[in-house]
Amino acid sequence: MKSAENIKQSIKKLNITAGPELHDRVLGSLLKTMEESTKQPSTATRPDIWRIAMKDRITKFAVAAVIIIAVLVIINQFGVPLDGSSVAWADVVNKFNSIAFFNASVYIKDNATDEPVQIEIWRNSQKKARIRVDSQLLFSDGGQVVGGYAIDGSIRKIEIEEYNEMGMAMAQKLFSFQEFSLDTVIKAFGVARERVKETTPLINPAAMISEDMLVFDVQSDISPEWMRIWVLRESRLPIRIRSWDPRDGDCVDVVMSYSAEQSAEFFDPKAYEKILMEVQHATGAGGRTNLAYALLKDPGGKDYTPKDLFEKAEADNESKDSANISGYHLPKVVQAGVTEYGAVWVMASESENRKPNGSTFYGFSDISDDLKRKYRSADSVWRVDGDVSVDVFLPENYPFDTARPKELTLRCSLEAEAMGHYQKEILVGNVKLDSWQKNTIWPQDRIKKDELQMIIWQAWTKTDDREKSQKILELVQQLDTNNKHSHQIEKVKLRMLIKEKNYEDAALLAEKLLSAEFEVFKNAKGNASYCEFYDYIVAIAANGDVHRATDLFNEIKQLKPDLSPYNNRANEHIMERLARQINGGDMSNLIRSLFTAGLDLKHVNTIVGFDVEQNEDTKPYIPSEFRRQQDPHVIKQQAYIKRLSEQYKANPLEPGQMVFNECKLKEIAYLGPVPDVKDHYFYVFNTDLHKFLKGYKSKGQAGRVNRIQIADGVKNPTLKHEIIFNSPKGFLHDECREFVMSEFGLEAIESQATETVLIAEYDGGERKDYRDIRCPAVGGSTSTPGAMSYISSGDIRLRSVFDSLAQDQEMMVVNNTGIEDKTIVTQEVANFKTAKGMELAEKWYKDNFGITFRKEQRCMPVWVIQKKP
Amino acid sequence: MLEDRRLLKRFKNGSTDALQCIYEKYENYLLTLAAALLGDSNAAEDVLHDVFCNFIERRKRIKLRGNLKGYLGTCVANLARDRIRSRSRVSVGLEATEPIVSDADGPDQSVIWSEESRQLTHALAQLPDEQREIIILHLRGGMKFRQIADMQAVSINTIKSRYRYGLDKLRSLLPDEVNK
Repeated sequence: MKSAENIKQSIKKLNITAGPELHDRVLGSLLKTMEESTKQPSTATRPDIWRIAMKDRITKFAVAAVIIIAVLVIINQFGVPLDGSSVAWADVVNKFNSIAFFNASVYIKDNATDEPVQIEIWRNSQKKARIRVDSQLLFSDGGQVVGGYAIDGSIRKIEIEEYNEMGMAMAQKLFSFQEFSLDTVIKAFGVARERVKETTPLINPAAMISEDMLVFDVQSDISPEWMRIWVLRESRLPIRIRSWDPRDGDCVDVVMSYSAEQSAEFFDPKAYEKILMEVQHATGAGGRTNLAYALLKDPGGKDYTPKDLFEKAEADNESKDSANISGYHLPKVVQAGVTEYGAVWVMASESENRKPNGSTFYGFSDISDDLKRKYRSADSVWRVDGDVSVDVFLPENYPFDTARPKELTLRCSLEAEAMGHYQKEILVGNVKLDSWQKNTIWPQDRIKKDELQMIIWQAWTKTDDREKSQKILELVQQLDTNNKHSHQIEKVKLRMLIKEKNYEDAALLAEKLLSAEFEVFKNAKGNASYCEFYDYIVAIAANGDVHRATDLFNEIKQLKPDLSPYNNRANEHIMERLARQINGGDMSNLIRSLFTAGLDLKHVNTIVGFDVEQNEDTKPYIPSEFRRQQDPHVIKQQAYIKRLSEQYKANPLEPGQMVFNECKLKEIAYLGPVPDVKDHYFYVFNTDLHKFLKGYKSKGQAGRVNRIQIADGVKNPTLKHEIIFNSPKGFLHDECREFVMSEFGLEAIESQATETVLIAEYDGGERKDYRDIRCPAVGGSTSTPGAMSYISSGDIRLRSVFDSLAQDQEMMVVNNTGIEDKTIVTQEVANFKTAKGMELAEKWYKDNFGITFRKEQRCMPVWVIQKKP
Repeated sequence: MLEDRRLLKRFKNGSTDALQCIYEKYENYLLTLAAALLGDSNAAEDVLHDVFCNFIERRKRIKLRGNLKGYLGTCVANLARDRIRSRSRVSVGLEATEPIVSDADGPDQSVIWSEESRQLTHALAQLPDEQREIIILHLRGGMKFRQIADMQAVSINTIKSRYRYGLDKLRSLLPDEVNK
């Protein structure tokens, strides 16, 4: 089954592309609609400055509104003579170019009454920038965004397609210009010099309240828009820029500040991710302040994040054995007890914990005792009033023995937000108890369910293990003196009989219990469920009475629960849920159980009243064994194997003997043991000779590559053959290839060839958790260097990773790392083909595993396939 | 790259260039959303077209609270929901639209599906409408649960439950992990 995380990733990447015909057709239609619509007179119609701007190819003006650097450039575009009349303005531009680091807050409004959107930017002298826009934090290097995180309550790495466009544009534009000169601007925008209007920013004396400040005004010559720039007189640095459109109040305000440069770490996405993950995992502290401003050092020594946040995280990470990690809190145990039959209950105050993403969890997650018993959570409640929770844990095994624990350990933990494919558990802490109320039940005003109900549920979950389930039921029957739970007990027995495939007794019991089940349904009101009848239908049908099962299902479909206590909306919701239990949507259990009980497709369809193979809801629930039985390839394979089995059972081969035959089994490549014939194996292949021989002697150390050379003149016939052999040593790959060679008069001669090999060495550094390893490139096709070529939900060993690199680079990889081939290192493997791929591989191996490569010339064994003399 | 607010402003002032930029920028995204929501390529094309027709018609009155992508995505979701309500409750899988969902990769194709997209959309089509919508809008549309809850006028907890149930069902519908 696919993991939820993989499904999420697949859906995020789901992409359907409009073909050119659709694109042209829809767009053409829309443009026509738009043109017609604009022809209609409108009071809002006015000259469109942006359209004019586009026609004049002066697109820079539009960019200027949101891009700080471009703002300055645009001013140049307006015609500021950098070398002449406006000396003060030239100073501003030059000074701005010389600064190493700045921080800017940009506020953008679409019109006079809009709430502004804020963007924050930090840019350093190394062409790196960090941008916070909306709930995203983007890191850029040289104008390209190299990492992005969603910071809406939790840290989540985001893919390129999720990056905020305004942020991406900002990152690009911050480094679009090597220097501020008119020529650069002209080159960057492809504008003919003669088209650039001359407009000089003028000092606005009325706007200057003191001599400390200069204020420049710039008026566009092609629209009513204007800009104002506030500049410090002494330093010549701009501190505020405003652009304004008087038509609607569309405005951009930029507030700039300058200080000592932030650390390299501040601009490094990996450093950000690492420290924030540590903080979250250790303390659970993940407020927006921490997420947005982590690693920011205020030049004045003020705090941008909670004062000791990072120090605390580091301390917590160092003390791994700490029982109580701060950030989240442990609930306070108010009362605890153990019932006569071993159920443990705990009432706790201050129970609610809140995750950084705003969701909550309550009480304790699991318990253990000094007797090493296993428990499972059976029920839990939490009430706002008093923030009190009650958790009930039942022993996994019944009947409960007489031994009593002396110590209970209550554990409070949660699953952390997933950063990758898996979730880490965060331990909030443990509470050890050495005293509790003995033989007492939990507060019944909190949890109304009685202990017997919970124990019956335990029996229900164990019907695969007759002995365990039976023991639990015996205990319950002893305790259920008023026969309050007799119907539920009998239903567990019915399930047990079905699991045992004792359909005769199951059908008898089903008929006996049915009338009571109808009553339960009628009284269940909103909790009524048609699923409660599934076992009855299965029992009766599996016992051979398909007609009766069909009638019963039809009868059930007519049942309507009493929904009078609920309002219309609730009724609608309940009926919708019930409908799915009889029309396919939620019938997976019934469909599976009927097939498992041995019914064929025709009978299943008869009972449910529709074709489950054609119904999109039920189709996936047809068991794979049943589907396989319908598959013509599988039918052919099974017939083939049966024939082999019969043939060689009657006439077994001698140990070591092989036979090579033509095989008419098309499109099947198959190998394995011949059933019921000791030490006999078969190998069916449908390929050409060269491909078949390719893997010869390929088993060995990690990083193997094809060691075969086919000599000139060796033909390459198509093979549609089988090999049957008797091998006490198991399946023989190379021997099969040698046998085929001999059949074609060929032999493999070992030779030597000097080749360049990659020697892998380990630098002794700490290796990352294999589940944290990601391929270097995100998105793109698998042919993109660095993009994922395959993934495993389990694990991938070093040997496989080296094999893949060897194949990609067509070079043997020699493992000199000292790390065993079988060591699990990752869940993802990237495509490292081409020189670019090798470059990426070197970085990937170094960063993730501390493995480096050097090339070496080595004399390597090869096998030359040639004709026998 | 001209950012969305600027594009929208130009569009509101009647620029066909801006319309073309917006359409080309979000065409595939919106088509993907619509196709995944409806499980039907033909209907997805119609929704894409209708969303933009409404967009043109109402352009003077559009006032963005969030971003343009989210706005258009919400329009697609609303229109898709209307379509689903108006048609039979019987789930229409992608197989019903086989002529459009072709394996061919030719230039004449209206809609080009990758194999994975096809499998995934096929599985999505088997979910109850309300679960499918939440999964697609949240994961592919990038909408927050709160936004979806507001859009559908149900509680955020209902949205989260439907999302979880939908994902569970998808897990049972999709094949095992790909292993090369």
